[in-house]
Amino acid sequence: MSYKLHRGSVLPHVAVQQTAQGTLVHALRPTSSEVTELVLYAIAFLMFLGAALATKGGIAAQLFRALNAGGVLLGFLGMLSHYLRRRRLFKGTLLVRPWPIRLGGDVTLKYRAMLKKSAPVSSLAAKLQCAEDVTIGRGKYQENKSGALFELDLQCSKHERRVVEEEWTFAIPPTLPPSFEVPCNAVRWRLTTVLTTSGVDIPADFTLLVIPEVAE
Amino acid sequence: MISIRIDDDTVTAGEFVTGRIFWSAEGDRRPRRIIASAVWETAGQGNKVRGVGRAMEYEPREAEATFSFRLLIPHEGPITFKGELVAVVWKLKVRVEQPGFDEFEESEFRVGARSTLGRRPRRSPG
Repeated sequence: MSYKLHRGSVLPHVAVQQTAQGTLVHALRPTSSEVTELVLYAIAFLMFLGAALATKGGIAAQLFRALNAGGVLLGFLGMLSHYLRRRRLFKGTLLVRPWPIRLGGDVTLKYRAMLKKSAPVSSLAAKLQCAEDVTIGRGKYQENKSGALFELDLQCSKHERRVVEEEWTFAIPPTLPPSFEVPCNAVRWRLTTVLTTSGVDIPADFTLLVIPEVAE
Repeated sequence: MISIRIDDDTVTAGEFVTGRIFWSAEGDRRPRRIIASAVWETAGQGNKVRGVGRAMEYEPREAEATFSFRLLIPHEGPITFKGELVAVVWKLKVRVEQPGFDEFEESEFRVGARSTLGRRPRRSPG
């Protein structure tokens, strides 16, 4: 069995901003790799479309090529819609106290979010999650698996508003593992929220840092 | 022959794992050095990854040797745990570098989360 050697920290790097009230964590934005993936999908669709429009071959071959192009188009549209929904978040911040978070300790989160053009938010759903993510195998046999070790639904008020503000206080169970992030293996603590506006769900996720220390 | 004795098989992150290693030569091969290292490894479904906490080496002069080790476990861990997909185990690994084949031995121990009060906390999950 081959092992990959990991050097350095096993805790994730979370970009935060220290303030007098606590530690400010910003919502995860679409990354450049997501945009690259989107562009590659668009190029792949154009290539498949070009092949589908070619008159070479019989009806069965043309139908097969058209189905291929349709499949790539569906994939591209799915990714594009997810990207555009995430782009609609104007501002999403989370004030965390204390930071870093300790196992068994109480945590207070102050959430604040606003959509672009101040679109009204009809509902908010929030969940604290401790999830495992692994990569199994390599190359074309590579597979990613995820599973939740712990989930906690957080109460949110129901009324419509333009600026969403919520505050939650809860305890982190002491029996759960802390944050852990090495290649192909991770335990991630995160707050996942979904803002609903005009029937469209807009995700805003935050990474939290839980260290291997038990609060007494 | 290598034998490992760990003083306490449960330590906390930021503490030292201590113990003794006994070694005796087989035949007339003389080792160049004996390396003891505290190593963590993933043992879940994901591709395997390992990291070395601390390591130390010893140069034996006789055909038998006993030496103590004291290796720091990093404050940030990882701690020992067993999830559905991810698991982490800590091992004390000993390697005897000698002419021909090297000799290896290992022994598992647990690393738990440290306490904010400095007391030994409850056992880690898994």
